[in-house]
Amino acid sequence: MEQKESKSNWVNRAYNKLTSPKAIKFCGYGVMIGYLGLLIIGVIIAATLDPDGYTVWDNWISDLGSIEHTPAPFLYDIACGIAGILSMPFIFYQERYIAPIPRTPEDLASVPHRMVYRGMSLAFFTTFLGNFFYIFVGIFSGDRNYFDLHMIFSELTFGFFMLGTLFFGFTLLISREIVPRPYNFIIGPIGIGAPLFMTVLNLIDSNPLREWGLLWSIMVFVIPVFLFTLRHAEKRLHSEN
Amino acid sequence: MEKAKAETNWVERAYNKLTAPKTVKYSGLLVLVLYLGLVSIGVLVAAILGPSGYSVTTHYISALGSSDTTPVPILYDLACIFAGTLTIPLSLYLEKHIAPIPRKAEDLPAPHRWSYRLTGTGFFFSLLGSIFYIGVGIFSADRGEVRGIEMHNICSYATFGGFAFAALFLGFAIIFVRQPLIPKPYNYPLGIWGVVGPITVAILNLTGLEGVTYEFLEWFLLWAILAWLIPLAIFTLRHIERQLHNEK
Repeated sequence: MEQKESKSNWVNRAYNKLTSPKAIKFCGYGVMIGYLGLLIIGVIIAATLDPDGYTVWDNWISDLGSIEHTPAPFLYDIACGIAGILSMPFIFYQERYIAPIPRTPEDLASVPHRMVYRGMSLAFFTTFLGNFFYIFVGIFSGDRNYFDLHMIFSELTFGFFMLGTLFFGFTLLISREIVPRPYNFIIGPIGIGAPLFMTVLNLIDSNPLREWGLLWSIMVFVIPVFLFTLRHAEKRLHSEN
Repeated sequence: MEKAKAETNWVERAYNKLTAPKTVKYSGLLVLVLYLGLVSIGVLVAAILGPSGYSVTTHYISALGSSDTTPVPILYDLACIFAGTLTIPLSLYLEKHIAPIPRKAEDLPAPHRWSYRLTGTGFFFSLLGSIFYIGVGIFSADRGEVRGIEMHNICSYATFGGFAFAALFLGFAIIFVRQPLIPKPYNYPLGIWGVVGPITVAILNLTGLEGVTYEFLEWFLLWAILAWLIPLAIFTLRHIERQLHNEK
């Protein structure tokens, strides 16, 4: 009955499509290649073709989206859009498998502790909002900074990603799903500590290198979690076939 | 085995004690009587005996905890500590019953995923609000600054922020999610107020409102939160009474 109901409901059908291993695999490779590739190419182009040069210690990340610093600002704008959109299915997938909701009596054996549901709920909301605002960082880039919207969306993105890694890191510590032991004990504390530390540094006194440091501290957590999620999706695909 | 393990685990035992209907009933009744009583008496005493008089349009709530404004600042400090402590079992109970986690086949079907998302997040903010409210009482206006850190202000912002966001998430939960605590159609007006009321007044506190003092806006935020919390607490107490009746 449950299955029949879920099939007839378009929201559930969309959710199932979005969190299917195939979709995750597609989005995972898309965001890794699209975001990291465009970001690296953007930095190289800015460093070589910007008249006054581009370095991570003299230039803000947002300068990558400004025509004053690079001849190809659209690269970073597109990178933000790709990262924001393609990362969204990931958080749904991670939530689905780290905090599964039992539907049948067989599922009851693997019901996690309530703390996992709490941590994952907070990670879900904060990461979702971080991704959502990241799309707008690309739309209102350095060149289209109307009403200071670029600054507002950048701060919201960093803020929510920092909170997202904090809650997600905490959840990984108490869960064995997706990131297995003992890796969760390494990745979890990085998620809790590194972006928070860099955010505090940026709040005390911000400079371009510290802003880049915040981005790297988020990536140091997000990239391994992405890889473990892709591994989980690959395993599920394999068992489905 | 699961049950045996849970029984040997002191955290689980404490959780079960804390969310037992009797505990929540007494903490709910106590918080309503003590908090509202102490705040009302605190305002009356400050207004009558305070050196400069006390009015909600010219004085911040925190002034109730300052010996410059009232001869008995301890009343408000105690009110904060009581409210912060006694609302914790209430939050745990709400979460437990709006988003129950099935452990046995009889507990199925489980609630919708949105139940867990909204209630888990609402619980976190509610706990944050409660803990920092205890902090507001400890670091009252008289003891507000500790080694240059404005502890009173930090705790006040975190308390109001925590309760406003808790109302937002729990408000959505009681509107959209099937739950046993607030019956239809009461869940709609209460839920809508939870979503809209406290967060709007919190934003007004940040932006200011022409013709209205910041002191009054702060009081208005407290009332907005109380207008959400008091009916919620009463509906929860009603649910508890039913639970206790069924146990008999």
